[in-house]
Amino acid sequence: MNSKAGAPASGGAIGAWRLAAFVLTLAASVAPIFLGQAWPELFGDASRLAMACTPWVVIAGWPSGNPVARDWPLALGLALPVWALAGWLDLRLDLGPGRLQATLAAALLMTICLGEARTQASSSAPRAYALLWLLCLGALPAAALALSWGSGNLVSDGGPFGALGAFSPVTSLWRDVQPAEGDLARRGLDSALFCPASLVSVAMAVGFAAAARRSAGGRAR
Amino acid sequence: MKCRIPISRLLCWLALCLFPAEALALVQDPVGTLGARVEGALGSFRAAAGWETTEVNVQLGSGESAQLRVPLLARRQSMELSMGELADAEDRVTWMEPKVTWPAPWGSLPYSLQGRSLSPLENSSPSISGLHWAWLGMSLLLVAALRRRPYRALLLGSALAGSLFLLPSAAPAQAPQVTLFEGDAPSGRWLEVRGAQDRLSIEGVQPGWLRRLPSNAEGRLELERGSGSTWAACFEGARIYYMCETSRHPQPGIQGPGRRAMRRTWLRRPGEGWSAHGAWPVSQGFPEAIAGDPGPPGWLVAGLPQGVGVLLGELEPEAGGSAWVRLVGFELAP
Repeated sequence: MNSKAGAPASGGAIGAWRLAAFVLTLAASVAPIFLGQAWPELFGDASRLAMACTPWVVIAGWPSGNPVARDWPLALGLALPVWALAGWLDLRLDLGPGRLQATLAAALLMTICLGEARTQASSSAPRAYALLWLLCLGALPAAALALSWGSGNLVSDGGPFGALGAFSPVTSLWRDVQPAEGDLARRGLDSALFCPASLVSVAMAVGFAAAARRSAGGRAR
Repeated sequence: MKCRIPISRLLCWLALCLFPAEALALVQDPVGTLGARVEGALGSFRAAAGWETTEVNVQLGSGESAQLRVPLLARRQSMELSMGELADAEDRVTWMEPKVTWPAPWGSLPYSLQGRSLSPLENSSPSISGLHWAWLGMSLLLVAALRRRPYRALLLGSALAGSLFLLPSAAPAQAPQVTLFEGDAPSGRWLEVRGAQDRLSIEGVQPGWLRRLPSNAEGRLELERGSGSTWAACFEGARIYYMCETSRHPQPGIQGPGRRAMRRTWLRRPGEGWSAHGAWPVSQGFPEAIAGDPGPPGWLVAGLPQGVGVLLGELEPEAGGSAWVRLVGFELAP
């Protein structure tokens, strides 16, 4: 771990806690596949891929108070075989390759961007990143869910409260589990890459990378 | 004289006149049969009657021969014209009849049998084989072993993810079949309608009709010599219904032997609403109405004619699916 200059390391060993978190995430992403096999009526034709992707997006960007190594490549390396199996199942469920492509593209983009944002922010602005992460991946989905239930709509409905959740990667992916008819028609590769949640993820990665560079430059002077 | 008919209404009439009524109707294609004599050595052959192919797996050794009836699917329009055609093995297969035996025209059925609603079907749930689980476990272990080299781990993970699609996949599980006996009491004619998603196994090679939703789904018929007279209609991604006239119906109009027991029954007398009557065992009279039943399934009552008695029932489950009865024109014996 290259923490001497305060800059994020590009690779290296990951800590025991982080490894344990990856194992838990692995279990959470395999669980829908396993449970769907044991009890097919449990999930019906819900997308296993979207369910398997969501935990990895959460863990890839999990905030850290100390400078950390760049570990999203390992997370992605572990996630991809699980995603492949989930996608293979979705194809057998006739969910349509277009819908799977959109989910996969969005999940890849969000995992990479949030993982990179976490790495960059850990050495420059960990508190600001933690607040932003909590807002996007915790508060927004919770608010959207609560308001939608309170108003009698589900989160997947495209109402004003559903629009609130569109800025959260978690809600955005979770909508792909069982999208509403209207969402399904709109959901393509371009809409997955340019949806608000994807743009938020990219903005976080770019913003915190710039902050880390400025911080490293300041220390050098 | 000024025309008082709005132009929009005229256009609607024109559209209705030009639009073929058949496009609105559900389309069923005839399944004919043709006897064939096959001589070995021959593994399999393909036959057709102008449209979808039937794959016949015979597995005959040298010097062996067999006779079988081959189901053939045709377009409605080419029904009268089509002869048996062979895509291969012309020297080993001989048609025993000059023409395909087709079912009676669909229009010759009583009108009330032609427009019945179809049963809902369930998807077959895809199954993950042990090979896939082993592949996943091995992949995760290999990637985790490279945890000190994250970029190599990512590269390996990507390659392993792609390799999943090269693994041989297990045959999809057979989706549950739904059998529906459609009766028309005034004419005494019955249709047996079998439905399944993706693949429908049918006992007995006899003329009938096949309906696929969507109607342009591509597939084939399959017949195996060793499986008796069971054949299969395989159209991946489609709902498949096979209909044929039958005398093997549950005979709800009679008492005693020959009638099949029903788990649940519902009755609608002319001019009245639905009443639930519970189970109707064999050799017992029609049960009295019971209270607290949620009523018959919606798909079973859809589109039924008004003003006539109707009996609906659920039979004891058959192997691999459920079975139902729908008899229009039913009257309880006094």
